[in-house]
Amino acid sequence: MKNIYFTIIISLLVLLAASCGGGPDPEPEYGSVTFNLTAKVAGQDIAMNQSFNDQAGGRMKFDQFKFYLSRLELIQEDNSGYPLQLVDLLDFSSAPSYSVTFHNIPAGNYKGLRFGLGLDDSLNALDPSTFGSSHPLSSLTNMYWSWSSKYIFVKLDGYGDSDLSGSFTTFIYHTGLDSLYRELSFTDQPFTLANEQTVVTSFSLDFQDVFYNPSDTIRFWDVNENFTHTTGDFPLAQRFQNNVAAAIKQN
Amino acid sequence: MPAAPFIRQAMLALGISLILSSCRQDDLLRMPMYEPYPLELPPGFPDMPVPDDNPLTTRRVALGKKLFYDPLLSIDSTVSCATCHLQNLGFTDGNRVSEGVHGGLGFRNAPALVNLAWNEDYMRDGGVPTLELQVLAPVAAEVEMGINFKELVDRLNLDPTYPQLFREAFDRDEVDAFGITRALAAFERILVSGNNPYDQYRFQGKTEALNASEQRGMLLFESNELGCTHCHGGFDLRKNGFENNGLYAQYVDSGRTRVTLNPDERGKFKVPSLRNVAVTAPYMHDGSLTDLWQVIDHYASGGKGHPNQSEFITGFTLTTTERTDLYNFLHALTDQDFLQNPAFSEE
Ligand code: HEC
Ligand code: HEC
Repeated sequence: MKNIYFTIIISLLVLLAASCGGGPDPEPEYGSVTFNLTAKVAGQDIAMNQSFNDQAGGRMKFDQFKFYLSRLELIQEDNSGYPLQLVDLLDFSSAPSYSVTFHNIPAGNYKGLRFGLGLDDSLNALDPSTFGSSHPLSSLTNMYWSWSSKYIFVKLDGYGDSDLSGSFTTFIYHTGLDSLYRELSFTDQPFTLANEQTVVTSFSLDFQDVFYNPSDTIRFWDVNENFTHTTGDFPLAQRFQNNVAAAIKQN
Repeated sequence: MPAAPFIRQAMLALGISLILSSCRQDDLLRMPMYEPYPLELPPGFPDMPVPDDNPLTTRRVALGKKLFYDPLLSIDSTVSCATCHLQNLGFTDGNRVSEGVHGGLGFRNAPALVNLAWNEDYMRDGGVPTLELQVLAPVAAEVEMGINFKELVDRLNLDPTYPQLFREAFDRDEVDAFGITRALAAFERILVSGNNPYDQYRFQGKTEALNASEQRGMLLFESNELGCTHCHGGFDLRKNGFENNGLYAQYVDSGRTRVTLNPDERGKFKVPSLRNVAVTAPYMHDGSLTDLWQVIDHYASGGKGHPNQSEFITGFTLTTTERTDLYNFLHALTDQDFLQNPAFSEE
């Protein structure tokens, strides 16, 4: 009999302790965040194998444009990151826009977003043959320099013409190597994510800005500035990478 | 003592699970998939480093060997690894620079494949950190095999024999990049050479393995004056690292700088092992020296004096006999067992 009283008393104490917090916790709240990025040429959506006039009297045409976007995260109020996506390969061959939506993101205030253009040294050291064929880092994506065991961060191939009368010359910009990884942070548009709501964040990258960066024009029609596989002409690869990074803007 | 039975039971359970788990370990090794490749290292060799994700199993080695000799790995099915890495030439190809698919010429001389497991870097500029990753290079290179990996994987998956062999060697359903790179690397790890006359003399107590001239050549080779062993020393007649051996005053091929972009490394190349060097002509990264006489004369001249030239390349004078002795010694680095070992040959 004594045992039973003892058990009851203990159970009551435990129950009491558990509810001591003062009422049930509020239900956690979650929303969704969409990330969009559109590639453009002088304001128009990009398309492959189509000629675009730029605003400086030249024109350009594209064969392929792809790049790695990594460590996409939301910036929380204490500046720590809320990771959304480790890495993806953005390929603009068939569509001008990349879009992805992340669900179950804790509601609250966010200062903005940040992500990497390319891969940081830890991602860049990974072995592509260890990834399944549909993974963005797999050896089947053709974004790898096998002679130096490094990923290619950005691949842009196309044709340029400085004045509309001339003919096109080929340009090739393939950038990589750890030192060309660029971290980008966007804090001009802080937002509040409410329960069951979706916040859409939109970015664009315009080749008008890449090539005609006001502080560094890259003469994409000129044989001295229209070709780099990074190691062959590192300074040009660096300029290109800096201009691509600077051209990514939040709309 | 009400606790005793419980403790006894717990001990029993623990004991059984220990036995079970150790059993499992042994059983695993006895399972054909994990059967270790029986590799015996030559006397004087350190343990072989093997990556965790690529144990040296009989099946992986056998599959790697099949792939190594299979021209299916090239875009037009004309070129296999063995086209440029022939066993009787110490796994080199005898050409100044290699010729791949469509007769395309590369810009470098094919290096010997020997004792690769102990190397810390691959390729002449060291751009590749593991043997597994190295496989991706020749396959994709336009002047070598010129095929993209997706095409290769698809092709092997359609082959009547490969899918089964991959399933048996790896716990995976199909041919993939992981299996291809692991199998080829496993085969390359067993390409161990350690039984040339110099090995026999040094590590196996066979004093008659080297004749008088070869012994004199050995002393020259090991002397401070010639300094060869600063770079070509140790069990594998090489050290890990990159050196500029003064071949040119100006290098067309920037060597290590190609991957590090550091100008202080211009003209530095991976230090090669001198094993089987008598059969691996022509020499150096570009195959520019045609025989070992030219190599000896190059080192005797003290190099062309590139700013990055190693301080150990200082030049020396040899009498005619000494020059011949050194030449003979370099020939005593040929390991006939290695060049003829059927375990490495096409079946
Ligand atoms: C067309 C000729 C050619 C073919 C085919 C070829 N190789 Fe090579 N191999 C070379 C050349 C040339 C190099 C040196 C490349 C460099 O240093 O840039 C090399 C380097 C290597 C190395 C690095 C050796 C070292 O000491 O660092 C390995 C390992 C190797 N090859 C294995 C293979 C395998 C495995 C295959 C088949 C999948 C293969 N090769 C196919 C020509 C070839
Ligand atoms: C400072 C380091 C260093 C020293 C000292 C040195 N070598 Fe070398 N050796 C190298 C490097 C690096 C290479 C590869 C160069 C290249 O690829 O162009 C090489 C290549 C060779 C080769 C060609 C191997 C091949 O397969 O192509 C031979 C033979 C050789 N050395 C012999 C010698 C001899 C004999 C001596 C002493 C007289 C010597 N080396 C001293 C660094 C050195």
